Amino acid sequence: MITLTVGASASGKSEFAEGRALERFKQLGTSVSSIRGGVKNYAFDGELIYLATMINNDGETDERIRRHLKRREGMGFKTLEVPYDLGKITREHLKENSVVLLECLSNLLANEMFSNPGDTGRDYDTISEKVLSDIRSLKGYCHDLIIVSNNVFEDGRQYQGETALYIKYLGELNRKLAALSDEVYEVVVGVPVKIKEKASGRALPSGAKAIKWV
Amino acid sequence: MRLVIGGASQGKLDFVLEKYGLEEKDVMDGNTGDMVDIRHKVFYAFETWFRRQLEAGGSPEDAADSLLSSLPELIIICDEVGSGIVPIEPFEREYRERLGRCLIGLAAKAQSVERVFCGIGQKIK
Repeated sequence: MITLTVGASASGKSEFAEGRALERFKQLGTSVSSIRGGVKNYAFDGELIYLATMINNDGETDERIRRHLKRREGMGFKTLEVPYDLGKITREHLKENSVVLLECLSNLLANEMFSNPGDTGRDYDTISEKVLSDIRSLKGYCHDLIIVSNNVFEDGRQYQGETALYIKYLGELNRKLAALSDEVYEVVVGVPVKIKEKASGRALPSGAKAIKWV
Repeated sequence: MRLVIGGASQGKLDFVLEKYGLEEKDVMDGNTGDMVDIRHKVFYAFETWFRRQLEAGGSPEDAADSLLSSLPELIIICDEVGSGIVPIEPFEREYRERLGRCLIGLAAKAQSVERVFCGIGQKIK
């Protein structure tokens, strides 16, 4: 199952996505245990994985990362750092029953476009396609994938050059991932608004507001 | 008239063409074109057209009003431009203010308003 969570900066999208990942992980643990006979104390072999995309290149970032790591450890996340080349995360790194949170697509794309040291003059079309195909592969290695992305499309500024291209490619990726996703949420002032759900009869998660989508 | 609004690069035009079964020949592109006429069913990039009218000292609000009376079935596609820091430059402020106010008026008259986000349309009116 793929869940896409998009929101403005400081909209609470990350907190929502983390909560959703934990929720999915608990559900998965319960369902796997019951499939295997509901044996008490059955050791569920899944993992809750956090794919972190921030590049650690200065003291401020270092401090921020340290703080986030500590908070997530308490929540049960195992963190893997992938600022670029998401394709390096393969079946060997992930257990089948894992719930993976990718935080976030906007950082990953920016790093791929502007900061990948392995970059040998690839064009942005190729980079964007690579990010999409890496995410598709990643979904094949885990049970649940939750992706966080940014809404950077509504300020009306006329950006030039690479910034304009970044906005174009992030918009395209958001749309393509939304099409692949089972659920899409827009998080506004901490409120998750569900804008897509594949027909499944599942109830909305707690606190989510249903909106008519066409 | 129908209004379709959303951020840049959200797939608004694709959404409209697919949903309403239209083709590129039905579209007046506001990035380059100035006049919507009877052949057009879609007015795309309304925000860029509006901006160009302002730059030329025109009154896009009046032009938009007269469009509505002559082409009541038109679908207007416009970028959301107001969700950023209010810019320092006076023209940029005027552009956002006047476009925003104009869209409120259009939305009030529209038979439907849809917001496109990540390629997904939400009917908000």
